[in-house]
Amino acid sequence: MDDEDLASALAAARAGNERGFAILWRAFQPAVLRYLRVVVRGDAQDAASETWLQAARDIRGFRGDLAAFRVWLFRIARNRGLDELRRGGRRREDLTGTPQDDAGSAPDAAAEAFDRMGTEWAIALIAGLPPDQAEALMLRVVAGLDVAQAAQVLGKRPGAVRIAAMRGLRRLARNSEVQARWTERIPSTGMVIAGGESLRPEGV
Amino acid sequence: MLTGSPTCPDRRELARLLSAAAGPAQPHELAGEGIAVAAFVHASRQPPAAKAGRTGPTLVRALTRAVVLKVAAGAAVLLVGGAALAAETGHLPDGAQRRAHEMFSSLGVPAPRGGERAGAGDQSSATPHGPGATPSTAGGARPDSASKGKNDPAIVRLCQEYVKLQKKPDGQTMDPAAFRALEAAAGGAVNVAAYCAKVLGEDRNAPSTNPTPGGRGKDHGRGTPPANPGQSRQPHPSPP
Repeated sequence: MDDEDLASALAAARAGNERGFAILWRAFQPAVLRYLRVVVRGDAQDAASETWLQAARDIRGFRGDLAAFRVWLFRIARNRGLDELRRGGRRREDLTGTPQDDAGSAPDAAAEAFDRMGTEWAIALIAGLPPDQAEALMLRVVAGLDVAQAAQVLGKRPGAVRIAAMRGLRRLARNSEVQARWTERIPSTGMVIAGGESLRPEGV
Repeated sequence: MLTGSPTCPDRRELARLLSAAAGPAQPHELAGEGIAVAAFVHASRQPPAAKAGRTGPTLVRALTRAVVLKVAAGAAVLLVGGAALAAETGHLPDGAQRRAHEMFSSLGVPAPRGGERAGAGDQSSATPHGPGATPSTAGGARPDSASKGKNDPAIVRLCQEYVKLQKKPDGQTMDPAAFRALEAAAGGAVNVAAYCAKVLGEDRNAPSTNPTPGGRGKDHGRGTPPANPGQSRQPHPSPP
């Protein structure tokens, strides 16, 4: 779904149209969940629900374009996530554990399970970074915000966001798990990777 | 085999990690849409200045725990197809690739092919959804609720769940948080059964002339006229 369609959905939702809201939810919920995962450092489900509840309440009064909506939404998410964090969060996950291997026997199920494991593993790793680095990376990479927008969500200056993101990247790069990852996990799912080749056909 | 010495990290590993973090939406991340939309419908009916107060967050939390797997399973089933398709396309989502490119342009990460601007949300809409897939699982109570402005579809959903559980021979009980929401709405645990009978009776289009007893449901704006008389029930034109 391109930005034009999302902008239409936003306009519709602001007018009270529930299908417009549903489209926005489908578009942003995965990113909201993943971002909140690193803010809450645990299960993000409740904080995400609170986020959408507030968004549902306040969207009629929202003024701005799609880019402004992204900032608005993730700012709400951040506040709800920090609330949960302060409350002591419900279920603390073991962020250092390896993801469950629940790959089915069919190739499609294996690919999907592998994608899920990869995503959860990646986010768990990012969640282990210092909070400012973790948040900067999630907003930039997963939520798709540019530096200025991420800065608005975080209440920081753009330069600080840039620095935090780069520090996070450097730390991740040094993480031995990152280096070992693609040689360990692949064989257990039966997927073959030749040396140096990208996992995805189109390349990274 | 990809290796990197500890002092000279392989940036491709990092790009892969980032692309994994921004990977396609998973089905479990798209569960609960019905709840969120129900809350939106509920919120749309409140006067603009109304605060959700104590009941709002409690209700949403209760709904999330008790109903998300049951109610939203329907929506999730409809959406799994799209998510699975995205997972199978096999290429790095353009948005994530552009960001990886920005960060690693000096290291040879190629620019994305398409011109699509993306949040991570693009992946969740790989398949166009027809009108039949509208996940407004606020349920059949919707048309009546809209005109009466009485029954919060979220409450209707909870009552349906309650009644269904009551009928089960194994005596399965409702999630405590969800039941607390009904308790609050009904004004006491002993009133829940009668309250839900009334709610569901009204929603089956049996006109009720009984005024709502004071003290019940005041958090749901029963005396409040619908806030959006012009609210369109037509689905927004489907994007291509």
